[in-house]
Amino acid sequence: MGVDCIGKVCEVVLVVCVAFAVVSMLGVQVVLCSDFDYDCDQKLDPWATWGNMAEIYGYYSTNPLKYGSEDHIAQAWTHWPMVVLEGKVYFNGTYGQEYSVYIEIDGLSYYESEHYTYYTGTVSTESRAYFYNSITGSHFWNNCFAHVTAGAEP
Amino acid sequence: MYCETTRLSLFSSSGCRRFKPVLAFLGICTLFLCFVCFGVEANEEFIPEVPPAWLKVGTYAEYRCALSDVNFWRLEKAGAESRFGWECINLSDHVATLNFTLFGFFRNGTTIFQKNTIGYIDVNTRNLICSNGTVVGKTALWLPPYMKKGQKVVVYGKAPDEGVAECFFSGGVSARTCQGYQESYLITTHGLGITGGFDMDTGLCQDLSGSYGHLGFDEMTLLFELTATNVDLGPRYLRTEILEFLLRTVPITVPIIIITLIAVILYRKRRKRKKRLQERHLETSQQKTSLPA
Repeated sequence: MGVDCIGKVCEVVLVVCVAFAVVSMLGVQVVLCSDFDYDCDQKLDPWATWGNMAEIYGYYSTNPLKYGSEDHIAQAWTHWPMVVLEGKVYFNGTYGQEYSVYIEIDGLSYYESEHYTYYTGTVSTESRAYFYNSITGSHFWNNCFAHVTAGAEP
Repeated sequence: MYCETTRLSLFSSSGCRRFKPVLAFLGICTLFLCFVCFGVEANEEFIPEVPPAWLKVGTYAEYRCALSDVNFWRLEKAGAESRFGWECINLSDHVATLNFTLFGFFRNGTTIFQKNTIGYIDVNTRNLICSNGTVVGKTALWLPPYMKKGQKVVVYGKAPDEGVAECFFSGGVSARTCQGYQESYLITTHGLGITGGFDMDTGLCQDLSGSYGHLGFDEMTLLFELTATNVDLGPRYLRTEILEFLLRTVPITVPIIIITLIAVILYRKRRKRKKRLQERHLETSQQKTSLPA
């Protein structure tokens, strides 16, 4: 009786352990190889420099679709006589629960950061700044195009 | 004595009576001027719509544009470019029929893709009209010319969901176009997505950030630069032309200027030395000739 009882308890514990292992294997965050690339059209603008970086986390859940989250920062620095008049962000892709964007312009620099989770497949972000040369009076747009691919299949 | 009497007469009851009509006239004038000024200001808050005088059958404009398309962006790395253009193919009464084109190509001439749509624009209102007669809303392919700082204009949508832009730079700025640097005015919707420059003399769009889904091109997000047009944009903006040329050629012009300056200074110094030597020589020769005498 006692041995049977212990055996049953062990069986239950084993089942629970196996179930936990399966769930955790499916749900655990695994940083996968992700693709991040960016290109900034600097031909027009010898005064401004773009900085761009991204941290990408690709992970899988029980859902068969590829999911990931990304923290993305783009920055354009200028120096006198160039002034940043305006900045814009265009997100192109599918994001799920969360998307937030923050833009800051202080005249000589443009800073943009984005955070989004549960995007599928590939996303692209266009970050652009509107510059004005206070000596010559010329104004123009300059683009920075970031492209992110979710983690590859394990 | 005379002055005192006149001063007294001004404040006396008879003086007041004499100046009453003048004061009344001045008061009316001031009120009228105030009314006119405030009235004009109220009217000028929104710039009145002016149909573009330059729009005729055959008028066209073409822009270098940006596409939010990852695949095309990859092609751009291999030398692909995209262009957006419109051409007026018919102008009857006050409705212009425009042929909108969006195409991508490689610099060697190979076409990657091409899209065409037809749109109808009421030139009096800038409203885009569908083929079934529905008004889509305003377009900002052109705006009234000579917008002043602070004036407002509707750049997209239709009432009550209109996008209102405000002019924040009027003149003194310019954009590079196919006809050289052209003076412009800048508008913005203050965070609602549209910012750009328009030609001062014609109101034609020079560069514009926005969405172009209403024209049928969802992927297009920016008009970078006016690359071709048969609209006369007027004289070039010389300030930018000259300064841009100088700035671009600084690595060449600055050393040339320094070398010529040094050369001129050295030449002048040598001339001065020569002159002094000549003068001394003359003095000594004169002294020699004067001594025997």
